[in-house]
Amino acid sequence: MSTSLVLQYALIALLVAASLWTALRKLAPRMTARWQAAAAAALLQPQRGAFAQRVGRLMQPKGATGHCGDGCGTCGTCGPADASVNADARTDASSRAQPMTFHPRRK
Amino acid sequence: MSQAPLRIALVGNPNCGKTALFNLLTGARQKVANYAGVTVERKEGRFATPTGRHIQVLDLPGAYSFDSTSPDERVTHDVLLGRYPGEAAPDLIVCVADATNLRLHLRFVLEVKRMGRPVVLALNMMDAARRRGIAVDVATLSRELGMPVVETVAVQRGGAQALIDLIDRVDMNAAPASHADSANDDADLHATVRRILAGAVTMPRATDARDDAIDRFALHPVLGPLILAVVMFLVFQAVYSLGKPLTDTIGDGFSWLGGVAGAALPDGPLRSLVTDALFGGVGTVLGFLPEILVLFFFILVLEESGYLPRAAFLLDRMMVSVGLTGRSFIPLLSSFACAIPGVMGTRSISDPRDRLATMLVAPLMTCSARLPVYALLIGAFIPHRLIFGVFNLQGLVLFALYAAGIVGAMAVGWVMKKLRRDRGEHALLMELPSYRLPRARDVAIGLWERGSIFLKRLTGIILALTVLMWFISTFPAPPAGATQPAIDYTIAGYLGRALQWPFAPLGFNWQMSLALIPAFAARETAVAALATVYSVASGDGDIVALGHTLAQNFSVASALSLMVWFAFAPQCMSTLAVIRRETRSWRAVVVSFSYMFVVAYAASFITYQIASRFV
Repeated sequence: MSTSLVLQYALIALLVAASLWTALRKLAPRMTARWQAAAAAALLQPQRGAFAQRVGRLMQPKGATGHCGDGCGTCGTCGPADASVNADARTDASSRAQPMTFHPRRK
Repeated sequence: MSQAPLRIALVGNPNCGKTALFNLLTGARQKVANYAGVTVERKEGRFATPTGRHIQVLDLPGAYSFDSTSPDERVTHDVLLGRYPGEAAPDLIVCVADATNLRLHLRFVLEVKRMGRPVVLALNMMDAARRRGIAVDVATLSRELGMPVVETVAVQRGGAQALIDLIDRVDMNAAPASHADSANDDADLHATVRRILAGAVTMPRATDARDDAIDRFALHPVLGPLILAVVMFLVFQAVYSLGKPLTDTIGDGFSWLGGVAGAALPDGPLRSLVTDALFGGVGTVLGFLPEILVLFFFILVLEESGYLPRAAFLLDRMMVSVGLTGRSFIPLLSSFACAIPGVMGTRSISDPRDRLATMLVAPLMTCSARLPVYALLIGAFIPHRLIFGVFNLQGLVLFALYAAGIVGAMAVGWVMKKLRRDRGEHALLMELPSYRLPRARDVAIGLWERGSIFLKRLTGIILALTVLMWFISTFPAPPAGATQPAIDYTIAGYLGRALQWPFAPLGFNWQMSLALIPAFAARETAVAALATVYSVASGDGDIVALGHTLAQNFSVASALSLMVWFAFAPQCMSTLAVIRRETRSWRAVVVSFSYMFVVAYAASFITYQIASRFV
């Protein structure tokens, strides 16, 4: 196999892995956050070397990594992912959860 | 030590311009439109006054009264009373009132005043009030209300300067707390409003003469629905007439770019990835951006004009007859952009059963993600010709697909009404805003936002899924001595053939069946998936026009069946997730998915079986 082909396959492997990670993060944010946290925790164990520790710190999830609406991304101002429109504006996740309760209607 | 920011909350009746004011103060770009119920959740932003004072602004959903029971109004109620989880009551309440409609809006101002907290009144839309000859004696109004009053024009640069100056001067140690009002019941409140208006406001007419003149036609029982049908029909005609040439130009551009990139890259899998997946797949989806923007241009213009609540009024009787409510109209309308804001918009519906019914039918409205699929299939299979010398046949089919979604929603609503034991109906009480000319800046910002959202999806989830689709369409390579096309030996080939049998009665080939998988994540990806699979299969990595390729591989009956599938199918995952979040019930998700799957399957089956006999 030529060097050019090896390089092509390596690049394709990277792109496919990145695509898989992007799709998973969009479609299953909680699961990927758990995986990320678990991988980071494994790398941050005391017996690991300095490089692994550094990678582990980089991999630590920065809080919640998405919402269930992330598959859509940003549907206008519906707010699943990026309701904030500038650095300061934001929507509060808890305000979105609106439980439904049913009571008999008055006749 | 830095001083804690002053926390202010913008409250008021729906459609008085709170969000426009929020945007003006904070530089945000939250959605504004000329109808009630656009904001259904709490939003937060910050700004600094000229003296450097930091202000934290809460934009709350509109409310007519604290007695209201809809979920969005409850948010407002709880935040102002300091009962909202994790949030203290605001330091200062800015009541926003429409200066052209103070008879309605001052009632809520008085309710807020009863709370005995620091309140100021922002008289918004003062430009419209002056145009109508409405004179407000601000000093008298302030004295009568017992709170500071400032004039604002939220849609004008510098239109909130008086409010900013006032906030800047507020000394919370000597807060201008409003004193509790003696008016304790609704009758007292109305009497107080009338008394205040008599002393402080002069109105030549209760309503705008211009609105009345237009409404004589727009709300006419016969002409009104006719005008609505013509408006919607023209919008879909325009999508094809205006958007198609641009779409074709972009498609040609990407074909050329794909050719150039293919020639520059060495032979091998990377060239296939770039030409088939990036230019063939993602480039094809990008080509539909002009048609999406044309559609949104008209939707934004209608939103800004104030016509849409009239449409809700016109459709109310029909909505009630099928078990929905006129209040469902705005959430359903939002679903034409995306079902997610539509589902969230149901928070303005106070009755839980009406809310659930609206939530379940909202995904049937044709969201913008379906447009590329429709545009591709219509362009490939429906001839470009004029009917009666005027109407574009392709536009007519697109209109029919949108209508199918609406009719489907009505039918499902009717069935749900029959299944429900309680048959109560709620009258629609909806404020009809004044007509206004859409502001070019707002429309431009709206289009920019829609375009950005589309591009973000394209370069995020759609690109990722297209690369994965290319991967499974390319690997593994065919074995030595293989006699079938290479793609038949790939993961996609095996997966597609496994999926084909349940969809064969609908006329779907394996490529179409395979494209349904990524479409469940994002509908547009079906186009990229088809483009990638056929591009890989063609072998030369250059797919000049996906439409021609599809026309050679599908029958018209299959294409019609696929369009009908997309009109009703349970997509996408995000919508189901939001239904789960809003209802906190997996049952609602299962019901939503199941009924849509059954409806889509049945409708596609019937379409294919009939069309394959006649076409």
